[in-house]
Amino acid sequence: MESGPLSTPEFKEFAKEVVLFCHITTRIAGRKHDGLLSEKGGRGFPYLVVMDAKGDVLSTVQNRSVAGFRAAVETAQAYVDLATKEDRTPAEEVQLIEAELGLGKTTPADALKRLDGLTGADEAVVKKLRDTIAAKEFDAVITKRLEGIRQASSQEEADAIVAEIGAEFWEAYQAGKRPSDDMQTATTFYSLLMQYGIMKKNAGSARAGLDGIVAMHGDNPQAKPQIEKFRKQVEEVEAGSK
Amino acid sequence: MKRFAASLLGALLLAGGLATPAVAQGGGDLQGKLDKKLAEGWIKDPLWITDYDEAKQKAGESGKLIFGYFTRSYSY
Repeated sequence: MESGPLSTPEFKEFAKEVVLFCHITTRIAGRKHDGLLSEKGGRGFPYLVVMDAKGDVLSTVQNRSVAGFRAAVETAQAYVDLATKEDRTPAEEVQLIEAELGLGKTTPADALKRLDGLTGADEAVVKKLRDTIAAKEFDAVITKRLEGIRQASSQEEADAIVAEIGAEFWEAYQAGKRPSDDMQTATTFYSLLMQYGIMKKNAGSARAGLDGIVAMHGDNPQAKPQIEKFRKQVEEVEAGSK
Repeated sequence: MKRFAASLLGALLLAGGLATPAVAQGGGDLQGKLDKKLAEGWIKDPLWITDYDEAKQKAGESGKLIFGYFTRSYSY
């Protein structure tokens, strides 16, 4: 990042349009704002966001290039424009609810309430947002279920965890529940679904997990070798179940 | 790719039975590591603000949005 996109002439031009803020996590005890990364939703480095003057995160950078930085700023500005607009149309109100849901500025429950009180919006758009809300609610279930279980101290313990949680996830999947497009939550969900399927020779679960991973990462050339390994394992399970 | 690897890792570690302790990276001279980070060429550009409160104040005054880049010095 630092010797790449952040050091280009294009970045210097971009920098004039924003306030550039660099936060350095130091782990120096008592240092002011040292835990800001997690406060702003960061889980690793580097983490790039666009914030308003209050420090509220309005968008996160998905593509680590100057074009990606600009896109994130545009998303943030569009949100600000929408949020401050008076007399929003029903369609704009739906857009705003969706944006606030994505930013964590509204809970799935509150978003549903706001949608219930809305009239005149396109039904298909509202349905899409209701599906998104359901996925967000399921994300919360997944996250809660995975809390504190990443410290398996033995193979047996790890296998037991995969068996137990994988079974629950498979049941939820069959009931039509799906995670949102949050990369980390969805990847973990589908990985566990796939591992459970491979471990238990459950071709349906293994395939559903693999398909989910492919849908999220299939166009990433760097992920291809790992996906192909998974594919072989899943196909072995499928061949064995015929 | 990093996110792919990281999130898959979480699940694969479960399957592999490997523990993922919150290893405290870094240690040692944390202030020295921070000083080293702050001495890098790119961050010396005066456009970069490293003080959170100052960045918010400047954004308020200028009406601009804050572009936040989060990095670390402890694993220097």
